[in-house]
Amino acid sequence: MLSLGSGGGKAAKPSFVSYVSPEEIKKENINDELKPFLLPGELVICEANTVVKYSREDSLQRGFYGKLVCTNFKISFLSAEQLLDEVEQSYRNKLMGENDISLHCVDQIFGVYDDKKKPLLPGAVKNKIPEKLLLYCKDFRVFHFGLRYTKEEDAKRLIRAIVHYCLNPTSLKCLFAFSYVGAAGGLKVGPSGNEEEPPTIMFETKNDWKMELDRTGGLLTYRIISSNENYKISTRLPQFFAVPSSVADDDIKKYKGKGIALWCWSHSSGCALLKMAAPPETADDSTTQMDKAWIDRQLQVLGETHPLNHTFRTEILSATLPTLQEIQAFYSRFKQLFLPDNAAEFWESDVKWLSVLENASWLEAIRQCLKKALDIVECLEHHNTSVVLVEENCSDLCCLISSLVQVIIDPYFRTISGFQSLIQKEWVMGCHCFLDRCNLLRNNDKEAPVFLLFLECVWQLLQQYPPAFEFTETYMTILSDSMYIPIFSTFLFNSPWQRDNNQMLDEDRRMRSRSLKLPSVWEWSVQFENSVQALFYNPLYIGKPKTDKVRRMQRVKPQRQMSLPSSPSYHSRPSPKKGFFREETDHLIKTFLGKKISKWTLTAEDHSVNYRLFYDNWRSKPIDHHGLLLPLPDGPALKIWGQRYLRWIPEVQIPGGGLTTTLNKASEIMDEIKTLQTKVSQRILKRQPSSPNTDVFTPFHQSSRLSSTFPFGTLRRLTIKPRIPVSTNLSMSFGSMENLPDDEEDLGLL
Amino acid sequence: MLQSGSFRLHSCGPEPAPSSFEMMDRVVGVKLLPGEKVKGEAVNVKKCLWYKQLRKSITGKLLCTNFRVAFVPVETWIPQGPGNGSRILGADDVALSCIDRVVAGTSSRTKVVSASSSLKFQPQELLIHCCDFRLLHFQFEQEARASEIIPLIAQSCQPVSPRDLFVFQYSVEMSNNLDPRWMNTHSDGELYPTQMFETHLDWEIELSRTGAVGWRVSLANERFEVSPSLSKFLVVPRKVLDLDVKRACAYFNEGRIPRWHWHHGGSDLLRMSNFQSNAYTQRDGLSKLEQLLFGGQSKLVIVDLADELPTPAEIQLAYNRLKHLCCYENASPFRDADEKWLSTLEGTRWLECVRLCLKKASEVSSLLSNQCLTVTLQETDDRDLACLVSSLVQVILDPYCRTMQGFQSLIQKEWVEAGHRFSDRFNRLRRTDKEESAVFLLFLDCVWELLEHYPVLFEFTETYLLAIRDSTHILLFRNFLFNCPRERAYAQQSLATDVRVRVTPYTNSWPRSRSTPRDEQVVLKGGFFTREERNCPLPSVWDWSLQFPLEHQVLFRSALYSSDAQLLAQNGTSAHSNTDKGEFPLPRTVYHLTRGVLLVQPQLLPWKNVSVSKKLSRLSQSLESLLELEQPQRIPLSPSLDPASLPLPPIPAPGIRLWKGCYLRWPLEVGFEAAYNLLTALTSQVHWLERRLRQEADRQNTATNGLDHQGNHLTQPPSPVCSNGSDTMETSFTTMLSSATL
Repeated sequence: MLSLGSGGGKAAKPSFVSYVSPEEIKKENINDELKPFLLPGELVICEANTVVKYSREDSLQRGFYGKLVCTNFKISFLSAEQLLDEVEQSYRNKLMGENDISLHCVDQIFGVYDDKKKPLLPGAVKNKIPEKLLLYCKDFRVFHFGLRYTKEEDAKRLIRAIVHYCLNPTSLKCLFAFSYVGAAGGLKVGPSGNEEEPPTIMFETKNDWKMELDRTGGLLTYRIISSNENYKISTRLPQFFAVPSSVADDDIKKYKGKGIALWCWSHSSGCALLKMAAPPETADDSTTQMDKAWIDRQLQVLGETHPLNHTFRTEILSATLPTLQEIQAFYSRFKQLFLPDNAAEFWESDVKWLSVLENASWLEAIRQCLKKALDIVECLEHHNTSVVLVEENCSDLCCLISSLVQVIIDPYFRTISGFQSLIQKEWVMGCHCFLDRCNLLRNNDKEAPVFLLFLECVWQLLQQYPPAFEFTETYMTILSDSMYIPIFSTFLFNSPWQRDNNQMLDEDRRMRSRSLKLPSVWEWSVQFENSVQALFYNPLYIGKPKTDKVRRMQRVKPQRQMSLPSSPSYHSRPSPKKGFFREETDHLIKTFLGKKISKWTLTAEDHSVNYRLFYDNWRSKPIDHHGLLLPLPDGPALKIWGQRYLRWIPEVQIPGGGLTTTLNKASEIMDEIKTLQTKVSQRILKRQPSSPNTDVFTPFHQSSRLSSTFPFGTLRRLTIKPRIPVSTNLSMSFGSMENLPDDEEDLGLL
Repeated sequence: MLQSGSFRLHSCGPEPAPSSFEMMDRVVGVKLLPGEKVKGEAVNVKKCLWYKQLRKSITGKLLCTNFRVAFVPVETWIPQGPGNGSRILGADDVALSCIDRVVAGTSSRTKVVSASSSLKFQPQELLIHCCDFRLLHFQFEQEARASEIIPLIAQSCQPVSPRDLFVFQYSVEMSNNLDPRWMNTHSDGELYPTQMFETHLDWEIELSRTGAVGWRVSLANERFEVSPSLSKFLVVPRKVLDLDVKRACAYFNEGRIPRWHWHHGGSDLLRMSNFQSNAYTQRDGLSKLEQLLFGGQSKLVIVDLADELPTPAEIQLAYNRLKHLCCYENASPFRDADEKWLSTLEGTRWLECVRLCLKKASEVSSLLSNQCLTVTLQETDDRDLACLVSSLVQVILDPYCRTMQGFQSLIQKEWVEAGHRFSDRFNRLRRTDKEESAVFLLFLDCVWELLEHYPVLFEFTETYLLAIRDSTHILLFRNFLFNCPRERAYAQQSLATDVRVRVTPYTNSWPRSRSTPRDEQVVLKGGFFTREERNCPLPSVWDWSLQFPLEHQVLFRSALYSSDAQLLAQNGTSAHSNTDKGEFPLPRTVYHLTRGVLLVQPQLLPWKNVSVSKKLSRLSQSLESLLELEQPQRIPLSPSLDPASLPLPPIPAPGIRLWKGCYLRWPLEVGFEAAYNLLTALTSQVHWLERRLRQEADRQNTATNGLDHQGNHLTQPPSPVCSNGSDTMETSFTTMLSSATL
């Protein structure tokens, strides 16, 4: 076989053999010295030897022998052959190896019995041992483990353990994070990455909120509420938050913060983005009636007290966006596209790729979110209307839309620290139920990839305007993977209360002897060396945004002032506030009762024309990457997040190509500029080289080793691999032709 | 930003005084080309910026010349549409040859206007559908004018005979050099010298560049006797006599005998048409034929391109569907059909066509490079997909073909001189719709696909591909005007005689007389002229200065590409050459590539037993032959076959993308990629710094020599995005960065 021929060195090693000839392996001396790399607090539950890991690159015909270990944190495959060379080693995750699967990352488990694939479910594990164990991961890896040569009792125990630990419901306290932190003690986070980097604002203190209000210019109209300290008022609210200054403290206490408009962000023109938890429209009893009246009054208060003449608009998110159940359904359909078992299955779906993709509707969900965000952006930017996002518990789509709007308008949130602060502010402090939505405990059906949907939307923006973002798609992919590593406090809890509560309990029990704070995901040094973190930074990112404070204070009008006359429908709107709010709240009630699509005074067509004007006006000016960035939501503009979804499928890999090479080249150019600049300044100023410029941009050095999926699916073999089995397949498949039709499927079409 | 008026910047010499032509241009409002005349105009016309968006429109006048339909806005403020930076056509202009359909309409009815039909109503609106997917929408305030100009446009965009083409008048006028404004443009020379493959020498150079041994350039077809559609020069095995070449043509469709096109490592790429089914087979003729086919090799793979690839008709069907999908009416950014976008896109099958071509090309590439097998591409008439696949293979394997110069030479070699029927396939003369097919555009799309995934490996950019694509819509260039080299040669010869006849009596004005019937006969029927020196060639598309100012041509070069001479020389360096094997009487084997598998063909000429089932022949294959086939693979791969420098195309559907910058450029107003502009700015920054450094070094040298330094001020390199000449390094860098984002 050609592809193996050039990797001949590897083929000669004893552990790399065809499974057809198992007698060649000397079973005993492979496994003895293999020890899994264990984190603090990690315990080996069981292990099995002589497991074959079939590699996808070899069309599942060959594989490596090794040991499969199941711990209370991960499933780990250890092979005598060290696959990673130095370069690949340096891009490793410190917590997870290449063949490690976090227990929470496992999505589905299948056993192959006599070439038939059957799902393995807890409680229904058969006594018969499957020939193959298939693990489907949430980060789209698919592992094929052959158990044919494994000792029967080992295999049985292993499968039981894996199924139990991966699929059975568990409790929060059993999550690995707690034993990890407990064992690690005063966890050494390691040297924090870059000291000069602006820190991520965690929004855990009053000061954080104050700074943010100050930065956005909302300090006058909004005040910070600290009466929820120690969660006295509500467990579904953060300890500190900002509300319009007119809201009385008693009002907040009355319904545990429900019906109160919480401040998210202030636009430079003075209007703001707020969010509000409101009861569902279906409930009809007296208490909710009272709620509605209450909400009406709150909205009224909101309008009265606003010092600037702002109009308000309420936006009921559930009316126009897909529901959480729908999002989950879309995603699970979409997911299946990227989990092909083998090449044949892949090519089969490949034929109808685009229509299958469309049927999954996931892109449609992204489009809806982008459109909704655009709608709100238009209100804030063009009409100077403040927007109140309304959702039942104000922690799912509210978080998504409000953070998306902020990314679109505010360049600060397109930097790494800004983006992290945004997630802290809107998602973590916004009480997004990460625990339930990611279903880490596997005990509920509230799973919905809302946060992922947000990342998807941001990714679409990122690929449309690459120079506007400080981070790369690698950063986003790694962030999305981190959701399935149950160590980080960011993604482990349903609310800040739950987090503090759990951490505190731990602290009490251990007599406060050690600090037991779970690491935040933003402490990237827990996972990665600095060399990998360099991959997070976009070489195409243009400069740093101008100092925010100064600019925002100086600017009276929005940066991108629309020169258009506002549309007639806005002119004809009643200007007296009372009347206006009457109308608004009436409408709100109507929507609560009848769930109509919220189209206030505009018809759909008028609105699209309006929007069109707004959009074209923006488009006709050159794009300011530090200003407003309107995403294109239309069909041709939406793409698939290739790095996340396609990275493990070898068929799609583009060796030596793809976006990575472009970025690599760009960083090389940046490096060159830097060295030249220093040289020039040395020459001009006639000064000696003062400090060797160590700030090197290029994170990767061997461009020949890059592929489109870098740094994830690194190239195993340095050969030209014909994508299509040409004559090489002839000899291989002479006896069995089952490999050939793979490619023929998609050929006989035209 | 590019200024359309800046084209005089690079004309050397003193600023010429405004000539009568310039005065005329100012009156007309359009820069007319030499030989271009205004045929009619209508004032008070509104051009709508977006289809069916009447709110935004510009008032101006509509002009129809014998080359274009132009719109001249009244106001000086010209909206910055997606400017193409062209010298020939303004942002609001469309060449007559680019007009697909003219539709006149009122608020209630619309009608397609053709040259023959008459309008039965007073039109108020005019819609011009262009071949480049643009849609121009005009509204008339004076209806009387509308009913005059609309039929005029419809008439002028359908030339009656090829002799009426504007290009003939244009090139005669150009050769007379009457207009001082265009004098310099022509003498600029080409930025990237291209091998035109119109001479013996070009083929010899190509043979030595690729390192091919055992081949010679034959002049057997000098008078187009072997094949009327082939180039004058054929590359055949050294041992084959011209006489045998001439004899062999009877075996092939249109006499397109197997001939060498490219050499890589130890293998050659050949092209031929299908075997004539009714050819009389002689034992002797057959052996000569074998000699011609095998050359020095003992193994030969025949790749039948009819297998698995779309036919030209299918390509055209897909292209039409794509055009319909991407047209304005259907592609407004805010339509409701977004949910259905993907499946409609799939329904056009265009991407499928792209995929299949890429797939075939990568199959052939891996045969050539991994297995060192000589490949012969075979197609019915060897003039469509053979051009496409063979050039794609070379783009994939040969770094030289990924430079601008190499790419242009490649198109010359594989398309223009190999007789791709540009005239029929583009169907700009509206002779017959049946032959129309977007094969060449499909090729550009395939190259773009590669470019998209391997931007680092290509010297040129998407803008360059778009410029080539746009040039095919303007009938001004000899490369894309004719069906075969013979037609091209005759047309230019007849033109040369025209010039001589006409230049003497009238020196200053273009004679209005129509071409003589004799000329027409020459062009149409391929009559014969005595060979003479061409003194009036039609313009070549590769002479980019004709079309674009230098500032725009900078955009053709990729900022990411590093021209590495070593890389370019990689093709053809191979330690193992199979040619010497031919000395021994080896049994010759023919393989056939079907469905991605190589099969041994029992006989060379398939018409003898077509009925043998392929399955059978595969199974009856002996093990020895298999081993033999595998042998070349055992040879260690030479370092030149570094996968990183081989852009193997992505075959799976997720890797194939729609060329948005091309097909959706009008509705979405996709301009130049901002990121790309940034990179260009960065590279120019590198150049600037390097120069600055050199200058500093010079200054130091001169200072030590005690000589006074000449204060030649450094100007920044021509960057498309920055016009800022600030002195300090830091400010220039930041301004460049910020201007790059525009």
